[in-house]
Amino acid sequence: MPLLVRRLEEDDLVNRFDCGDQALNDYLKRFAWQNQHRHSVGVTHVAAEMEVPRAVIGYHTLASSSIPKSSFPGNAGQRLSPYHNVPVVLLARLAVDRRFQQRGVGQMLLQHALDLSLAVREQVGCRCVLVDAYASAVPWYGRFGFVPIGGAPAGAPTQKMFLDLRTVEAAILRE
Amino acid sequence: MRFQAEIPTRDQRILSSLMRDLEIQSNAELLAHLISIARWAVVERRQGRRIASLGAQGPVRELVSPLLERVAPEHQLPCVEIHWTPEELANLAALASAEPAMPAEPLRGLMRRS
Repeated sequence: MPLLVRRLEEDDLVNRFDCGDQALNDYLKRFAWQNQHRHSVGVTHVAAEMEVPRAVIGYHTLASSSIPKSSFPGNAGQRLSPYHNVPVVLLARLAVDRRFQQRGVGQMLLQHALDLSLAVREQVGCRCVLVDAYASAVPWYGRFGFVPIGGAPAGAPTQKMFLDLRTVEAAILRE
Repeated sequence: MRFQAEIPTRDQRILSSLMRDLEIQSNAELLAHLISIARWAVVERRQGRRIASLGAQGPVRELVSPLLERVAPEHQLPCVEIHWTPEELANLAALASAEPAMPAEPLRGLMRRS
């Protein structure tokens, strides 16, 4: 099943997409294009089969974010950045259609998202990738080195996770 | 606005040479021209256009500057806000301050495809 990953386009076929999670389905169908094209609040890349390149079978959405240095407790922020903010890349969403799950599409999308994050680190500068993962996805991200960030409010539906981009870089350099 | 800057001797020589070549009489005039050129380059790159010089016969030479890449749309991700608890921020600071972890085998396998 040769696949391609590319930036979301307006005429992509997204209506049949079903990853099993209503919020992630709705985001792709209702908001992803508008957010990317009109509001600039997230860039979505989609996976598709080469033979059916318009039909979306998976996607990820990346956004940049920053954390004000002053919001860190004590002088912790001082060590992280000489400037006012600590820049980070947020892997805001990643989902695969149910019909294509367990076939490596998610890994392909994650690899693509990390490649883009490394390019951002190289060209603009950022420290890490963060993901706010559903509890069910925490072990999957953990396999690739994402570390849970403790301290979420009790009952929070998601878990923030951290991956140092130097670790990703080292994964390439070690080859 | 009055503008003053300390520059190294080497740059002073380059500056003088530029003023001679361009027949410019004052620092202010030179600065005005440089601002115009820099502004043009930033606008072009921000629109996703690349900046290059064309020779009559030689190959096209592209100007690649890390400074200009900061405004390139392909490297601009839209910005979103994340909400943090103080405890999460303390833990994030600890993670980000630490030496990077060695890449796990699945991550190495993943990036091997890059």
